[in-house]
Amino acid sequence: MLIEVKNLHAKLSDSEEGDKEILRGINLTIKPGEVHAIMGPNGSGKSTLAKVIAGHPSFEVSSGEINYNINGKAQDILELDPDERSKQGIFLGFQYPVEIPGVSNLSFLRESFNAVCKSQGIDEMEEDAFREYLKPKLKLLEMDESFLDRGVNTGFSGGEKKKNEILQMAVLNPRLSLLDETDSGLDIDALKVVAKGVNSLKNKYNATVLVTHYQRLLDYITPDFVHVLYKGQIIKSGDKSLALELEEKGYDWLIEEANS
Amino acid sequence: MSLTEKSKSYFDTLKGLNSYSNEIGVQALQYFEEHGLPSKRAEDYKYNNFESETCEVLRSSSIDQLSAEDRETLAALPGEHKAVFINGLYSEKESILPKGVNLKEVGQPLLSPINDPFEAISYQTAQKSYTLTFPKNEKSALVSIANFHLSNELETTSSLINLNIEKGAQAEVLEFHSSRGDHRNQTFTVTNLTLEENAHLKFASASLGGLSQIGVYKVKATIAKDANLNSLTFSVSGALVRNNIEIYLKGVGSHATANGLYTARGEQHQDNFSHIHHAAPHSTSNQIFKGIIDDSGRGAFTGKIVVHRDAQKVDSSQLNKNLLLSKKAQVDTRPQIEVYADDVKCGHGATVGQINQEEVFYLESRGIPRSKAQKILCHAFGQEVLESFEQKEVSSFLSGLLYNNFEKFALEHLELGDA
Repeated sequence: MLIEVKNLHAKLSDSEEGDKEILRGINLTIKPGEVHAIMGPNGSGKSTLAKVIAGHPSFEVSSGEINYNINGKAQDILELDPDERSKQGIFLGFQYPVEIPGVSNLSFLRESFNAVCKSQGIDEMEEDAFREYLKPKLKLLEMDESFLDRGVNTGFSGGEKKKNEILQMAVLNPRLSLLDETDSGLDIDALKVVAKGVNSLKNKYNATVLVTHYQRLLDYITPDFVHVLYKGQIIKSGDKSLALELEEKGYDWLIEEANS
Repeated sequence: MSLTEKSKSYFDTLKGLNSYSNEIGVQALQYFEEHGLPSKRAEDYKYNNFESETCEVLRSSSIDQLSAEDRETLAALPGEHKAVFINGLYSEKESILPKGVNLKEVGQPLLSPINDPFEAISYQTAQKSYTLTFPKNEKSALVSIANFHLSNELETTSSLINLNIEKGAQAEVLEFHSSRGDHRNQTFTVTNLTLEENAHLKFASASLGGLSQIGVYKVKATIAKDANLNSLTFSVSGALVRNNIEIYLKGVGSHATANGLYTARGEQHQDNFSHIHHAAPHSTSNQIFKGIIDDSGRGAFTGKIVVHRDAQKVDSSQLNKNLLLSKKAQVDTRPQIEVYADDVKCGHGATVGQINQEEVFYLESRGIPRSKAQKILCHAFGQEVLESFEQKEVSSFLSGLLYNNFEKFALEHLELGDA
């Protein structure tokens, strides 16, 4: 087991009493080496699930557990700060990566990489060595080296921002990658590059969760499991064929099934 | 207007001093006699009470030597060429100027009438006036002016420096105001910039004052036809600091960039007053001033842009952005535009905000702890302004000072709670 989400309930942190929960009892177990796709109509809670696992402060877990394998032992990570979760190998690829003018992409990546190295007792890297370390990763994502000297995501196109997310993933080498709508806003060429990047980072020790609205991404990254989220609950799980069925028939039949 | 006791005493002291030019001395005294020290009732100084904050008496400093600490400061300044001033007096033995650049102890006629009480004080109290000339059609190496203001408790220091950038010359100058100690003292300076036709000047003015220092730094520029000023005001310490920036775009096609960065924490006040005159057609200016205010600090920005009659096709933009890091931090921002021509483009804006929590989370989700993420974002906020300065050695030097400033004084108030 890599991660096990048990009966997870969550709502907005600043929500009023009586406000609806966004996640209403999620159960999900992911093993190393697996690729899971989380699908569902808008507002079903897909992105929230990814953000809650990463520790986004906008959400508050009202009940349930998230147990994550740390050094061979399952530990509840709800008390860990987002940076500690990151250091334990949890990575969130943002749907809308944040632009930070004034911080160069290089210093951001290095700050991040060194923070994670430090926590794992690995030596930090000097700037020149780090640039060398980045070269093959940039090549994998078909990114020019000049991206390193620009402000983080500043003035990047939609496709460039998403490639930059996968570059960060390649740098941090996480055990659990939660990719939130990584396919949105991508043209087909950029999508292929991003998918190639994600695929090449896959191994038997790590797992990937693809949060997506469309089946298109799954043509390039093959999921082992597909889950459909609706109103904060997983209403159906299956294999890749479920995604194809959704593509063909939409979500309505599932929703009817769930309501009945 | 009748002067307060303190202003009267200042005036009496000023009267006893010699100016480098009779004409200017008469004007300075007359101006001060009419206005005195500015209280909050003076419209241009409404955000701080300099009348009550200034030292009780105007007494000049008697220090004339650099300390070991000052020498470290000097050594750290960027570039090989330094012009060293100690309490307004040029020190030839400490200075190295680039070939062709010359410094003379001469006065200079006023670029424009004295319009500020501290400018009036500076003209009387500065011991001498100097002019650094950058020769025409030549590109000169960076000169760091180390302007040391060294005083004992309750003393005043002043300097009066003119930079003449001759026709077609290209110059780069950092004026670095350095004070030491945490005792109460005050510094009033005037720096005049004259850009002749097609001259280019990159000019940064940085002040690093002690925690109890009052500083009023005036930079006055006149810019001729097709000349270009890229300027930066960097103001991150001192108890009460006022930066007066006054720019006259006098020639067709002249341009000024007048950016700035100020930070205040503890009880510090940073007051910025910028006045840009477009007196010629096709002149352009742009301005970004940013402030980072923590603790009970206060910041102020007044940006006046005046487009004179017949100055058509002027293009001017101004922006003031502020980051407040604590609930008690305060900032006043006041954009003012007066347009007397009809075919111009002027834009201005101001923002006051807090650190973006989505940005903090983005960094946290990459393994960077919250406190560090917040420091990085504060630095980045300022960095945008520093990077706009076209002399890279200077901007990276100032960036280092800014970062140390954050490192030294942990931003404890960043936990904005429910923000």
